[in-house]
Amino acid sequence: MIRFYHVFKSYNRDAYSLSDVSLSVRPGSFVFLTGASGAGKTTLLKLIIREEVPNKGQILVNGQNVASLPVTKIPRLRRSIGVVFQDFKLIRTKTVFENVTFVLKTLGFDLKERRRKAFSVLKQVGLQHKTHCYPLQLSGGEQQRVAIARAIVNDPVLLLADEPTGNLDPDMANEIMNLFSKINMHGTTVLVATHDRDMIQRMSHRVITLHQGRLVHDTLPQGRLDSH
Amino acid sequence: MLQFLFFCFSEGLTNLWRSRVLNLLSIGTMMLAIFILGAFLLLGTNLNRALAHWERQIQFHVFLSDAVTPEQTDNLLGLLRSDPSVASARLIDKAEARKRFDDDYADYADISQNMEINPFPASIQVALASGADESRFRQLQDKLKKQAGVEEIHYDFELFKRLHFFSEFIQWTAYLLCGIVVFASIFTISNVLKLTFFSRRDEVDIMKLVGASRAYIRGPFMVEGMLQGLFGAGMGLVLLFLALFTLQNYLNWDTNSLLGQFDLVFLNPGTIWILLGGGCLVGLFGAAISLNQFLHEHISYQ
Ligand SMILES: Nc1ncnc2c1ncn2[C@@H]1O[C@H](COP(=O)(O)OP(=O)(O)OP(=O)(O)O)[C@@H](O)[C@H]1O
Ligand SMILES: [Mg+2]
Repeated sequence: MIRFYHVFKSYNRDAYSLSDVSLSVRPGSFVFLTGASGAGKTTLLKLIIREEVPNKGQILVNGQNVASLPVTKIPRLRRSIGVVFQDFKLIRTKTVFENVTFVLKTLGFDLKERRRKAFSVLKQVGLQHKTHCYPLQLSGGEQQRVAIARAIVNDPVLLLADEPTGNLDPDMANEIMNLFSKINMHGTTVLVATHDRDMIQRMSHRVITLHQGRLVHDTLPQGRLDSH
Repeated sequence: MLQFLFFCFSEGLTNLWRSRVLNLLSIGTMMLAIFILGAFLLLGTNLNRALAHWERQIQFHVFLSDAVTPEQTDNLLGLLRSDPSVASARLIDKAEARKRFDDDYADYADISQNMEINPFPASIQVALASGADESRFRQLQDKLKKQAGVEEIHYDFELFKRLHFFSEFIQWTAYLLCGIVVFASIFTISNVLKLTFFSRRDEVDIMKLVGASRAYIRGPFMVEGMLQGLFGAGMGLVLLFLALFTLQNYLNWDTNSLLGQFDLVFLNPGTIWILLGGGCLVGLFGAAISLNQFLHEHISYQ
């Protein structure tokens, strides 16, 4: 599903935010991405959706060479990937419902269909009663859950979540991770960036660890070290 | 395609409403522009109408002396009718001349009624063929003057030349204004859209990140520009109509019948459609300019 070949990314001349990263994520797998703050987790996710372009190396996502993808194909790539952004990226001037269903609207789903889908995902994140609120009327955790609902509403083949439980209480965090597991069981590949060690341990999935832009550990749930 | 248009309109309308204060600026500019332009077109139309009316009414008159004989009259009519530059020649005898005065100036009819002898001279009303210019008229005039029974030839050429010149001047002013107005409106609309875009760039970035394609991001902006143009033009036309209505009422209330009834007409439907369509086009153009100048870096994917 995702392959990185010796990827380098620097935002400025002197320091690499990602340095010689190679990895491969199989379709249908559930992978954690961890590492200290500033290790490069968000940067890695940005490269996957072509929000950023690598300085060197190749990236394959779902069979497409992302780094050299023609610009006209970028929207389609992004629509096939659900993203929960670290800073949520909700549109302030649109309601929860409009935020969640914006992409569906551009895809031509009619209002009835959009209502149905939105209700279903908002219910899964426990926000079905906040459909007509604006993001600024919601708490941080609620905004995060709206971002999650938007990421899963279009049944993506790949779900990227950047610190998706950062603003949630432990119970809600568990519920969200269960939701991700459920989505994963239905075949969606899930990649979650987090520093939450407890959660990583509880869930026993593959864990990729970054340190100062380098991939330092790639651990499978059995505890076996996987050579990268 | 239909679904795309629906999307653009629903988003464009929402956006228009959301930044309505700012958008009032471009709608207001457009309104004023169409109002001024329309006012000149209106003046031109009405002036032309009046001219056409007067030309038909006055034409030129060969006044006959009271002592003219029927033979001389027939001779004159024959002469005129055989001239290629004359479209028509009609005899108006003394009785008809008097009746015309009475009809035209009903308020003064009693004056003419009180006169025992009919003071109005007989005349031949001559309409020149279209395309006949002033020199043809002079030739004809010289020829007629030599004929017996002709008292005077009356044609207010200077007045007509001036009125024509004035009406043409008005029309050219309207064209010139049209140019200025179009530029001013495009300028305002594109700049207002730049501002509204600026306030929405975060939103646009998010739309891009969740996978909205270029057309779906640009479309609503185009619609927004178009609707600004259309609403502005529509409001300008309504304003113009109200102004005309007021003016018409004022004139008819105030005029005495010596001036005759003023009957002003509004722009014809064709012109109205053109102005509305022009408003849309100007809006679209303004939006396209601002998208290309400013949004290029933002809405293109890298
Ligand atoms: N737009 C940017 N311009 C310049 N430098 C950047 C930019 N984005 C990230 N960086 C740098 O790249 C490095 C990696 O950042 P990144 O956001 O990927 O870290 P992270 O692992 O997501 O951290 P966190 O856990 O705090 O979210 C950091 O040193 C950061 O300063
Ligand atoms: Mg991050």
